Amino acid sequence: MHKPTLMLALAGGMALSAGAVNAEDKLSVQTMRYREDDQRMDIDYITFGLEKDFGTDYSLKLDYGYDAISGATPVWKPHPTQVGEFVESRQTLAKEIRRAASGALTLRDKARNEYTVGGAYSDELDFKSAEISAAVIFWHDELHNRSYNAGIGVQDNTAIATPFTNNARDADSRAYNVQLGVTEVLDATSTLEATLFGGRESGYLSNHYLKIVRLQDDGSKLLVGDSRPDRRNSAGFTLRWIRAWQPTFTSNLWYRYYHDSWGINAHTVESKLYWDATAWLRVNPVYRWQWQDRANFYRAYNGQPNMFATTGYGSNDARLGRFTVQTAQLNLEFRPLKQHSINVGYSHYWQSNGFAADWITAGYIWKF
Amino acid sequence: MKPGVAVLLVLGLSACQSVMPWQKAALAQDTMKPAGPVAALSKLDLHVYTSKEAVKGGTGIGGGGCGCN
Repeated sequence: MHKPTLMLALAGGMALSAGAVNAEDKLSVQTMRYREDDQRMDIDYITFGLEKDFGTDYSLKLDYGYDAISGATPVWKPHPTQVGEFVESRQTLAKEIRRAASGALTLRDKARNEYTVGGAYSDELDFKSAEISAAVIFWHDELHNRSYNAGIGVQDNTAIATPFTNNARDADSRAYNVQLGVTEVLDATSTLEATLFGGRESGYLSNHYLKIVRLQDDGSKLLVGDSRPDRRNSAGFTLRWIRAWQPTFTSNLWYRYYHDSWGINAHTVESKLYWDATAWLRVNPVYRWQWQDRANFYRAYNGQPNMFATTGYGSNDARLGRFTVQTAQLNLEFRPLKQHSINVGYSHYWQSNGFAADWITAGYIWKF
Repeated sequence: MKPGVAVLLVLGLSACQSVMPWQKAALAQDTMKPAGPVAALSKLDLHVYTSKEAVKGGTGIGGGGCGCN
């Protein structure tokens, strides 16, 4: 199946919103402990962030992240007693370290339009990635009740060969992402944002750890590497509605439709609520639901059939399967002092295929 | 709904009332940010979703790569 990892490398979060709020300089640290239900994979993560304004026209965001991954990933392996047969097994991974850094610089002109450039880099033992991005926000009106935004990112990835990967050589891929959007202030308490997005990936897009079993014409079975198309085009749109129902109660609803050339369609809905229970305590429950269809070359390990023909694409990667997934989350933010806040959270994540995971978060933000 | 319809829907809201700057106190709250008051939490969640699901995009531009093997 897959070696789950947490993507580090944060973008310097380009705030593509007309609801831009007062800027503050911030230093933050966030930590996360992620555990899968069958003790398959454990990930400990920490990230440091800095947001700094230089006057009113320039803003800088920097992030540095680090995570440690340990556990095992499911793979096909030869049957211990039956020659020519294969069974689902696990490949234990050595503890793996990933480091990532990213930054973004924003410039504002006299009309307060924003121009942002960003970069990100991450590496680990078997993978590295570098990305550059650019985004703009243009205000439609002097009252700043509508804005248009656009962004593009180009990412170069390398799947690094190791003694445990399918490839003896490194394999590259490139991804382009674009996004166009408009944000409208509906009234004094609500905003609506709509975006169109698209992506184009090319190069080595297979998983360099996973294997599949091909059934030969003579009935024999052959264990080979996971094989996916070397191109993937995707597109979709999102809608986000944010409303402050009361000064102490805000809702944030988000919907996404996704489609790609591998045959995957998906619908995602996310609801976040923010309730200032007291002057120093904010309660933030989150619920997310998603349904995704399977890739047209995917077969489940435990499905029938679960093997592939001698030619053609094939993958048993569960992420490419058809399932519904839900996340229930509760975050608490404590603000004993105006300039300091502490946040803690717990999340439970479960897919209809039986997979589940939990993670806890804890963080501190200093505003100065 | 076709993708373009979503954008047209928002553009069609041009008849919305004009909100003056002094009426935007609620809009200036940090809970009105798309990623919420603690943006890093959304990024952490996104890392999980990206590594466990086939869907990506629509969450902003930039962010670096993920082995997610």
